[in-house]
Amino acid sequence: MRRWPTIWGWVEVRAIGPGVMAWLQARAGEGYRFWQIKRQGDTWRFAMEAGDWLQLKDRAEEVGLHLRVERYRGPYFTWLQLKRYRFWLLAGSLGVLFLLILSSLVWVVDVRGTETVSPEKVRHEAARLGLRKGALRYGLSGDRVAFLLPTLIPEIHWAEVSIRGIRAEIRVVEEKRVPAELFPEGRSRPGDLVAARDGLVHSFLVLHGEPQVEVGQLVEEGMVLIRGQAGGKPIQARGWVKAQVWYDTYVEIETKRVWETPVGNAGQRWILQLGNKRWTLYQRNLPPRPWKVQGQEVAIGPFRWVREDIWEVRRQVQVLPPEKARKWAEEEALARVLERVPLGAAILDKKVEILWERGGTLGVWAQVTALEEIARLHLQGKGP
Amino acid sequence: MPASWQKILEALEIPPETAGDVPKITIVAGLRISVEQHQGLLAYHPEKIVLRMGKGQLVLEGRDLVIGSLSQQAITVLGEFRRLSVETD
Repeated sequence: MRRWPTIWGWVEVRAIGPGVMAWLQARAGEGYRFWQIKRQGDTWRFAMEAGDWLQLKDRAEEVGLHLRVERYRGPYFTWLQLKRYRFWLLAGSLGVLFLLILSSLVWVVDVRGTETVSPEKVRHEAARLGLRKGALRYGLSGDRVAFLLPTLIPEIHWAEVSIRGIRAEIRVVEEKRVPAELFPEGRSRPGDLVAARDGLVHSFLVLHGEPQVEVGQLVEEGMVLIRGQAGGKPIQARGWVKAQVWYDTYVEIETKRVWETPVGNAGQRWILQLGNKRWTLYQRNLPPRPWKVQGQEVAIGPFRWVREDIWEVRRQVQVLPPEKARKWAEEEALARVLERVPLGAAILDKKVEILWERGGTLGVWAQVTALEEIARLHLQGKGP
Repeated sequence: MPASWQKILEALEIPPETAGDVPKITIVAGLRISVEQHQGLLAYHPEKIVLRMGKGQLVLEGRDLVIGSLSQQAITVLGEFRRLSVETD
């Protein structure tokens, strides 16, 4: 049902009498508006704007119409009604404000993840950084506390702070120190950094010691890269040396693929072996060939006691087309080289070349150039 | 509206309500009827409302009829309508 918009509100009026309809029509003709007009017998009810009511109520009395306001509606009248309860309104508002203030403070500081460091110590240092009971949540930077906490407590390696509601949680990870007994020779024992493998020096950083190489220099495995010496005194060299290292391989690859699928028949045999001579001592359920054999050996003096499990297999051979065979051979050769490249090395270049092809067999050469750390500590008094 | 003026409007294919004093009735789903340019409320009962319209009367019959709004230009009637008729004088 439509209500005319008004900021002052409106009134619901009751009127009784035969002249109501004419009076309403006459006022509507003057530009006043009425709505929700209902009639029950001689009783009329309708709504009108509060401002119009102030203007019309006396005029209605003049013509003998008795109008009575049944309800006052709208924001203005609601406000007038609420004013009667201003004490309770004020108390309620203060209560809500109080709750808002209380909920904007940190009331609980939990510490998790401590092992050797006491949670109280973590709380104490966090409090110095502003995260304490009663601290205002707004403006409190959990990231800042998490960043600075490890600098205040050296035993802490990592920290994270999350603030949810009134609860702050500090999660820490303590520094794991390797026990001293694992270093019987001590970490400070003098030593050089030597090349772990041949390579071309790409870059280096000397923290302790004297550099023995230059960028662009070829070095061989075992060569001293950073000498553990300072002012004529032996020290433990520290730093890193990165070098280009080449890994290559030559493989002969069959271009036909063979699959062996066990078909179900299986047997065992026990063999005594001396050098290249073998004597079968016992066998049972030997299946027809071809076989797949898996052996377990036990050495007894010069002899070997071998137990072999034997499965009958079905062999399937797939001869690859030439192009596919070459591609597969190249991938296989590269994969075998890459197996030797240490983790963390950056691959700079890959080369692969088919050297020869004969009767379903390919001779492939592959090379990988990697950039890696080649310096290894060589303590004095020991070989490389 | 004079008959001659009405003929002119028809010849020009202009809607007659644009002339200003022609009542216009809008019915929405049988639940709401608005009448613009009515010439007065002649009777109102919850079962029947009669409006004056030019040379005739518009009679609305139904149940629980309520005058949704009443102003100088228009009247809106709400309720459950059963019959609507125009009676000429």
